[in-house]
Amino acid sequence: MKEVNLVVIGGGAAGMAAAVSARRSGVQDILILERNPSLGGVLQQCIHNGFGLHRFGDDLTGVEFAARYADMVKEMGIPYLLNTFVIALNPDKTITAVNPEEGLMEIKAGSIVLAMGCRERSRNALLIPGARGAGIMTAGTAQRYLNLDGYLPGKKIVIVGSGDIGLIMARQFVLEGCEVAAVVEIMPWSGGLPRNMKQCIEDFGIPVYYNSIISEIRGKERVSSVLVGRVDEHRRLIPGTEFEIACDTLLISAGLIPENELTDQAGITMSGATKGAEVSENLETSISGVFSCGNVLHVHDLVDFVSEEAEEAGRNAAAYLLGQAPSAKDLTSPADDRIPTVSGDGVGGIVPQYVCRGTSKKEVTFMFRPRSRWRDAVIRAFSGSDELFSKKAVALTPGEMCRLTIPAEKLRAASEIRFSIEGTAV
Amino acid sequence: MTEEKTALTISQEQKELVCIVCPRGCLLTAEQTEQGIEIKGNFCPRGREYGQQELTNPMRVLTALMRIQGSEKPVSVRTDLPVPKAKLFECAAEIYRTHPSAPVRRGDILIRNLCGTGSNVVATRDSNPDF
Repeated sequence: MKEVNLVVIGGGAAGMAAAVSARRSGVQDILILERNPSLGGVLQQCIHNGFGLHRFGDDLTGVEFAARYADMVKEMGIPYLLNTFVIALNPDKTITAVNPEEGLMEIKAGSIVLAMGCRERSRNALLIPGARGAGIMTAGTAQRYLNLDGYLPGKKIVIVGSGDIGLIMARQFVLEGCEVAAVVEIMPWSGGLPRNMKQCIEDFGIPVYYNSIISEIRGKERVSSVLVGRVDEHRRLIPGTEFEIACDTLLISAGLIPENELTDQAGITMSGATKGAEVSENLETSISGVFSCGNVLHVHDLVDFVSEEAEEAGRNAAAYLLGQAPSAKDLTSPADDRIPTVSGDGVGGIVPQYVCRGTSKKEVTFMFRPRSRWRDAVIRAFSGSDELFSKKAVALTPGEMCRLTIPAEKLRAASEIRFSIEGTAV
Repeated sequence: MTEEKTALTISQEQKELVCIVCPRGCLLTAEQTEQGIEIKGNFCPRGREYGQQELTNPMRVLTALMRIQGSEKPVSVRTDLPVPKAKLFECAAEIYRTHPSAPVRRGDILIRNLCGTGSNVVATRDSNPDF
């Protein structure tokens, strides 16, 4: 069995950033395991710009953002294995992986960073009834066909869901000369970033149908049309509201799911709200020395924040390996030494799920999505009836993650950290 | 864009805009005053610039694919500066018409002064990548 100090599972934005920061923090023996033939993950197919403004102060394309980190990995001489698929992760931090050169391999890791990213919700997850012809795929699959392989998946496109990938692809299809006939969104608002609604949809006059679903897909060998109908306040189809839109392609852009099969298999405690591992403020999971970051922990809006979180995970893994990590001990301490975070009014799943009372960090960043849309809102953090922190926000939407950084001093006496949103619901 | 169109765009006294400079997506309010267009709601100075630009001559960075002679897979490209929104389709058509020969390296300038915009088209990756 091979022994490696730090194994990073996944060579995308999170994995590369975690490895780079662990090396900078003094870990020499690192191995990145990546299932694709190149580093970069989904960024390889993100040819659009808008990446890196926070992290690098430059407006980069996803491809360029990935290249910056891949260059750092290579310049630092951090080893990585490509075409390598991890098939098992065990609670004792042993990993089974397979690749075409070495076949089956077993690795014993001192510490592990989970950076497997996420995958898209599919047609089956949305339960769209109807024909099963060609031309139905996720927005990310279409992005892959077009941007990596050079194939246009269709000419007349309907997009169900208004996630960012779908919006980005709508714009690209229009510029490629295709028609985007409609974006169909079940909610009364977009699931994507406001800037993408503006520059990808409004700029090109693409029709958006809110409070609407695809009630049927038609077409024998290939999709020929879809039926679009309105839903009531319980998101159920209102009979008689359906109308037909002709199309040859249906793209699904209805959310992302962290890819946590390995995490689950290792018996790591999961959060039902975020669909990722439960972590401390150090991003450490319920197994000491195993950290989680990026989209496998919770789905982010921006790669900049994925990298930031992953660099934090890399530093914490280094501290654990170099014996400087007080949190590892605290994690096995009695539960009353952990301060749980709690979702109050309007607040979705929070990362981290708890803060160790004796944390060595000066400040803790909390992230969550609002459950609905607000104007002139205040986000508050309470312990019982004591207000720990508050922050104003002009506008909040589920499409944008809230991030709050609170000084650790303010948290030490708390019995819980309960977040809530007040404001005008819109 | 002509004066006439500018006046038309902000014919209402106030107009709300979403800033697209960064993913923060500030909600801007533009108001026509005697001094010109006044922007509020911006978190940073770039928001003010964006608001004024957007209401006079909106600009966008264009990203696209370029098909390469001697390479099965396309190369991703971007404009190094934003181009006028009104010229996006013309600029895209020019990019799709152009087929440079392999090899193309990340950072290579593939079209200079795209459609007279003063912006260059730059490769964002190498041709014949491994994926």
